[in-house]
Amino acid sequence: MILTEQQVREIFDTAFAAATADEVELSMAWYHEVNREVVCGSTKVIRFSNSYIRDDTVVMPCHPLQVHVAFGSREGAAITNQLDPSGIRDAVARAEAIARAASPNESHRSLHGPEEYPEIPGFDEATAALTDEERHEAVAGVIERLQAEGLNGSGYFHVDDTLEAHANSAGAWFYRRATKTGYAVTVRSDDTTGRESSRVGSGWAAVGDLRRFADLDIPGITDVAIRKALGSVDPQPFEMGPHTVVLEPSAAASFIGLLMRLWSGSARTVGAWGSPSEAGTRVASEHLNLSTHPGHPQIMGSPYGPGGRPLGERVWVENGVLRNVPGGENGPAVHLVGDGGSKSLEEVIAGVDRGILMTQNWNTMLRTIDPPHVNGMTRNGLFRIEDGQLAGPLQNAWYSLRLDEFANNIEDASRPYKAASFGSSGLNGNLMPALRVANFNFYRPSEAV
Amino acid sequence: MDITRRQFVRLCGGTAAVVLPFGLTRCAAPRPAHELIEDVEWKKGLADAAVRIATSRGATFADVRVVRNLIQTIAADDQAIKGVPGEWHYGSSPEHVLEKVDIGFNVRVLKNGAWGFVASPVLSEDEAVAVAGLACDLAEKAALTVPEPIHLVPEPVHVDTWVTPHEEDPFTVPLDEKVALLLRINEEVRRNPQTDRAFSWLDFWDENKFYANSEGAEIQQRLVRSDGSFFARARVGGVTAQRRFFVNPLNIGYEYIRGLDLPSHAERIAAEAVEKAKAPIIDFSGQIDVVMDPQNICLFEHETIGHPTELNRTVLVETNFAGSTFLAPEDMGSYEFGSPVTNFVGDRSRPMLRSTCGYDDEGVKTQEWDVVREGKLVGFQTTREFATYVGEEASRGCCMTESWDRVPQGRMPNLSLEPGGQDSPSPEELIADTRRGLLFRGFSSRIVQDYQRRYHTYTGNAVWEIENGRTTRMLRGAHYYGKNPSELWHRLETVTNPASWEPAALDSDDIGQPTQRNHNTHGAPWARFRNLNVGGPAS
Repeated sequence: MILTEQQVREIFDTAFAAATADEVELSMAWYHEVNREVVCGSTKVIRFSNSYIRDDTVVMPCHPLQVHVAFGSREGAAITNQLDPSGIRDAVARAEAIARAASPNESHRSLHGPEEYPEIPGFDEATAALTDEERHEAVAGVIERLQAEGLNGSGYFHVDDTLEAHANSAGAWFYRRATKTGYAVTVRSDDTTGRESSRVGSGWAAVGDLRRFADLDIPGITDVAIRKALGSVDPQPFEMGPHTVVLEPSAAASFIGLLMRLWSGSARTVGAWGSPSEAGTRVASEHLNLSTHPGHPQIMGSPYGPGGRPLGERVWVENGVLRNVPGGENGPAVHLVGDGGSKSLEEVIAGVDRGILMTQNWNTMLRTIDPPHVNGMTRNGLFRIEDGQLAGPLQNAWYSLRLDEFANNIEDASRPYKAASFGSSGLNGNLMPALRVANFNFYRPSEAV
Repeated sequence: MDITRRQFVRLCGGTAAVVLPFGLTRCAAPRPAHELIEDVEWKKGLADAAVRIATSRGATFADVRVVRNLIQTIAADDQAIKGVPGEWHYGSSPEHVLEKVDIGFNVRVLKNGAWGFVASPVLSEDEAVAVAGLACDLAEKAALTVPEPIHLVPEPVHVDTWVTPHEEDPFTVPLDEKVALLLRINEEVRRNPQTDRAFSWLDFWDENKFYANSEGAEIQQRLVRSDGSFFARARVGGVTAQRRFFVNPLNIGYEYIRGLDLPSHAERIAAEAVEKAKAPIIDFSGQIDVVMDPQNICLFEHETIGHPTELNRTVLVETNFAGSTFLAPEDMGSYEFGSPVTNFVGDRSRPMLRSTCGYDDEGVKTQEWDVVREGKLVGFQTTREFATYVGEEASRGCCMTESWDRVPQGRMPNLSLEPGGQDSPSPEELIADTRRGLLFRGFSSRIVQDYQRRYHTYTGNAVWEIENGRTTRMLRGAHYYGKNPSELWHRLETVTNPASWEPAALDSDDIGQPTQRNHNTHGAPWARFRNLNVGGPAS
C-alpha cells in the first residue's frame, strides 16, 4: 500500500525527533540518480520484445526517505528505504555525520516555511487499481496483431502509483498522490538482425506521463509504429547537406530540452559550462512558444518546486523572445507546453514543398558550448516530403548543426502534442509541437536501423 | 518435537527467536532489515519459502535475491563539500553528497515457459510467499504470448560464500578523513594560478547479495567497490579546459585510495589543464596513426566490442531503447572483427575488476572466455536463457541486476583488450616508434555512435601530437572516427607489453527500461592504430 498522509507524518516526525541539525528537510518523492530513476511508490512494467512478453514485473510499494540536513551552511544527505524507527534514525545520523564533516556551502539556501500549493489532482483511482489481468490485456491485443502480421515488436508499458511528500523544520508540508502511465513501442518490419537489417523498416511511437490509463491508447500508438515500420522498408539514400526538416513532437522535444538548458546556462559539455541568456532577448524565431504549466489538463504535474516553492505557470519563450530565464528563482523548466498554434502535424507537413520528416532521433548532444554545436542521428523512420505529402522512406543519417541557428530557423510549428522522451523509465511526456526547421544539416548516411 | 532454527524463524514470520527461561521461546518484535540482511540463515528461510510456493504452483525454475546496496558518494567542488550538476565524465558526476541504504528482495519464476518477476522492500516470509505467488500469476499471463517456451541451460548447484578481497572496509573510514583528502586534492590543484576550479570525489559501494534458486543454489556474496579521482579546470584567454586524473575503479577496499596518493598527481594534472586550454584546435582532417592509452581505449572498447557482443542485443531484446547490434549470433566463429593482434577476453573472475564476483545473478560461477581471438569473433556475452542462441550448453555468467527492484538482464561483464607478448613494446617505445600521429589519453563522454554500433566518433580527455617519436604539443577538438570494425579494429597494428596493461573502467553504464546501472572493467594495454580517420568536432 502507498503510505497515507498520516503514515508519512509519523515517519517524518520520527526523523525530526532524531535530528539535531539546524535545518532538516525530508522528502519522499521520485528522484534521479546517475543513470537511474527511482519511483516512490509502486511500479508495474510489461516489457515485450520479439513480439512476446519478456518481463512482466511488479515492484511493491517502496518509499525511499531522503534526509537533507544543515548545520549552518554545512550540508549532508542520506537516503534509506527502511522506514522502521531504527532505519529512519540511522538515515538522519548518516546525513548529520556528512554535514558535520562538510565544509560550508556558500550557495546554501535557508528553508522555506509553509506555502500554499495549488490543487492539481494527478491521481486516478482507476489507474491505481488497474489489475495485472487488465495490464496484460492492454498489451495482449497488440502482441497478437504483431505476431499475426509477422512484425517484430518491442514495447515498454508502465503503470506507477506514486507518492510525493515533503516537510521541513521550518514548517513546510506537502503530500500528493499521483498516478503515471506511458507506453513506447518499436516495430520492425521483420526480425532480420545484424548487418543484414539495413533494409528493414522500423517505426517508433510513444506517449509518456499520462495520469489516466483510460487516456493511453496502446492499440493506436502501436498502429502508428506499425505504419512507420511498414512505410520505411528499403529506405533510400539522400543527398547530404541542408534540408528543410519537420520534426515530430517527440523528436522536437530533444532539441527543445537542449535549448532550455542552453538558455538557462545549465548546458554542459565536458569541462565547459554555459552561461544564461538574458531575459528579453530574441533566442528563436517567432514560431517558438514555451511555458511551464503544471496544471495543464494533459500534464497535471506536481506544484511542488525546488526548495519548497510553489511551482506555477511561467512563460519562458514568447514568440521567440526569452521572457524568463529558467532556473533559480524562476524555477525549473518542467511540465513544458510548447504551443505553436492550431496547425496539426499533418498540416505542418502539408506546408513543405520538399523536405524530410524526422520521427525520432538518437544521441543528440551538445559537442561544444560556444558555439552551441549539436550532433546526433535519426532513428525509426525518416521520410521524404514532396509537395506536402510523404514520398517514401530515407536512410537514417547523422546531423550536425548549431543549436542557436536551429532555433532561429524554425519556420513553422504545430499545436502541442503529448510527446515522450526516448526510452528511459518515465518517458517524460511534455506537450511539444512539431517543428519545421530550415537548413537542418545532414552530413553522413547511416546503415543503422 | 525439535524444530530447526530455520523452521523456527519461518514460524516467527521473520522475527527473531528469543530464548526465554526454562527453555521456552517466543517470537520477538520484527527485526529491522539491516539486521536481517546480515543473517544468512534467515535469508535462506525467506528464499526457501518463496521457492516452495513457486514450485508448488508449477514453476520449472525460481530464484530469489535478497540485496542490500550501501552507497557513499562524497564530492568536493573547490573547497565546498557539495554536489554539482555533472557531465564531467562518462555518465555524469555524483550530484549528491550522500549515503544511501537500499534493501529488498525479489523473486523471479519461470512458469509455462515465461518469466514473472516481483520485488519488495519488505523483508518477511509472508511477503516472500505473496511475492512468489504473484510472480507465478504474472508468468502465467506472459506465457500466453510466448511462441517458444524459454529454457535455461544447466548450471551446477553452488552453495558458497564469496567476498571481494579487501583490507579496509571503506565505510569504516571516518568521513572527516575522506573530506580532508578531497579538500587537499583541490587545494593542490588550485595552487596553479591558471586553474579556476577543482573537483574531486570518492565513491564507495558495498553490495550484500544473497542468491538462492529452486535447483538448490545458496550463494552469499559481498562486493566492495572503491573509486575516486579529480579534475582540474583551467581558464586561459577565454578558453576553458578540464583535465581528469584517471583512476581505474576497482573492487577493493579503502587501501586502494590510500595507495593512490591522489594529491601527489594534482600538480601535473593542473599543468596539463592549463596546457590544454592554451592548445590550438586541430586543423588536420584525414588519416593518421593514432596511439591510445588504456583509459582512452576503455570507452572505445565498451562501445565498439562490448555492446555489439551482448547476445540479447543480437536477438533484438533491447530494440525499444538501447538498440541492437551489427553482429548476429551466426557470426560467432567466422566474423573477422579485427586485425590479428586484436584479442578480447570477457571475464567476471579476474581479481579486483569491477564486474568480478563469485557468481552471477542467476547462480552461474563466474569465468573467463575469449570473445575475439586473433581478430576473429569467437564468443558472446550470455546468460542461462541466451546461451543456446549460439549453440553453447552453459552460460558465461552475464546475468546481472543492479538492485533488488530491477529485473535480471544480460549485461556487459569485464571485457578487455589483451596485451602483446613480453617482446611487445612499452608505451614509451610505441610512441618513440611513431613518426607522425596523435596520442589520445583518457576517455571523454563526447562520443557519438549509432544504436547498432556500426559507426563511431570518439575523442579523448587530452590529445597530443606525435612528431618523430615524441609528443610535441596538445591539441583541442581532435576526434577519431570510422565504421566498426573495418575502419577501427581492423587497423589495430600494435599493442604494448603485459606490464602496460591497466584495468581501466567506466564510472557507470546503463541499459534497460527502467534503466539499470552496471559496473565493468575494460582493461587494455596501449595501442597504435594505423591510418585512423581523424578530424575536428564535426567528425
